Amino acid sequence: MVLLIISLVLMVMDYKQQQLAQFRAALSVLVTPIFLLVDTPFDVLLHVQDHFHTRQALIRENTNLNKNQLLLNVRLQRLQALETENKRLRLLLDSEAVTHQHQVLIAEILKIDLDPFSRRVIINKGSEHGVYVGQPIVDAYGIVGQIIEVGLFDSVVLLITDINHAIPVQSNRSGARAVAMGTGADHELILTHVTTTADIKIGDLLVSSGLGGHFPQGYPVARVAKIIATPGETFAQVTVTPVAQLDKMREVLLLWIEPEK
Amino acid sequence: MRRNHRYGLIAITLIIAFCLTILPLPEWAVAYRPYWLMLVIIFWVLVLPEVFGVGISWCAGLLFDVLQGALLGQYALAMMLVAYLTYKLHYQLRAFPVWQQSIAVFLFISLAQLFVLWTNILIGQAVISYWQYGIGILVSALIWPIVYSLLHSYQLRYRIQ
Repeated sequence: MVLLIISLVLMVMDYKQQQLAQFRAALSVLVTPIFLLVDTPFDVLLHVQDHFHTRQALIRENTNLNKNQLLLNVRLQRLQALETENKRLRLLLDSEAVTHQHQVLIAEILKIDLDPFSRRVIINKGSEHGVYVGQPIVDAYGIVGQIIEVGLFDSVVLLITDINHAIPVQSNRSGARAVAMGTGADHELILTHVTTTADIKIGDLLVSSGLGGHFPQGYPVARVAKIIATPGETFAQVTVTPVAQLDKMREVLLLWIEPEK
Repeated sequence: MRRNHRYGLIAITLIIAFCLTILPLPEWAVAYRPYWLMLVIIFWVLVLPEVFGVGISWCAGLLFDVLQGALLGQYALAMMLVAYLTYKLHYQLRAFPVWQQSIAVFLFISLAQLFVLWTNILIGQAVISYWQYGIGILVSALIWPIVYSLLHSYQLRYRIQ
């Protein structure tokens, strides 16, 4: 009976406020070994696979990487030129520069299935590495999600596809702003409160607008996949596909954002 | 077997249940994952009600909450419910043949999962498919005979009493 009441109180407290974060973190120390127990065999398997790569495969991979590196370098040169130009123009306009310095850290995703009803993953970096709640996570293609729980050596990432996740975005082409909400499905987000007349087209790249203050500005989030605009309705139904490889990624980047002086 | 060893041996089965719960499966197989922890809890309450009771089940459930990132106390209460029902009926259940126990297992887990579902809806967690809940429960009931015989031989092998 006592336990019944305790669990009811716990549930209410956990839902209403974040007071239980420390309690949960303490319990998660007990759970971490179980995570590792499940993850380690898969990790070892991958390492063994890496080890037995053939020479030819390695050479091929190396050539590909080199080619990619070259292409990216060329693009980076242009980007740098553009960035300085942007800064100069902004100075002319007397507006503050919005570029940020980002410090990054690579984290690995543990091979673990969590509750199938939420979109979350666990990464192998925790408060020991300076991870904090609310920290943005990206992969090579775009924004993945944000940290919602930090343990000592691991933390939980809420993916942008989770039903409880929303991220402010804007169209890279027109600058139209919207909020992208998760749906719980793997390859789908929806834009809320987009008027039927808003300048959003199929194929538009949506980047983070930085308005919520959580996510840095200008990282790709999703591409517009489908627009259903019923005449007479105020809002259109816009479905977008995340650009980050949410179901295939093995490594993600943790971002630390510091405003540039 | 010394008495203080038995908790360790029981804990091993619980840890295995935890591991099986978070073991990554291919996308199509996720729905068929049985509720391992509930099965293990039902077994121990059934055969050793004086050792493994509602209290331990609650603690296991609380750890399960942290493991799954669920609302704290949600699975704790669900596990407690399963343990309590099993405890109340353990005399009758022991006399049943295994396939009839399966039906009881189905009902117990259904009730507990119904509670989990209900709290999930209450806090606004989306329910992607009701099928997933249903299939998981059915699979749990179907593999109960296997789990029972495995754990039973484990129990006899190490004379956990």
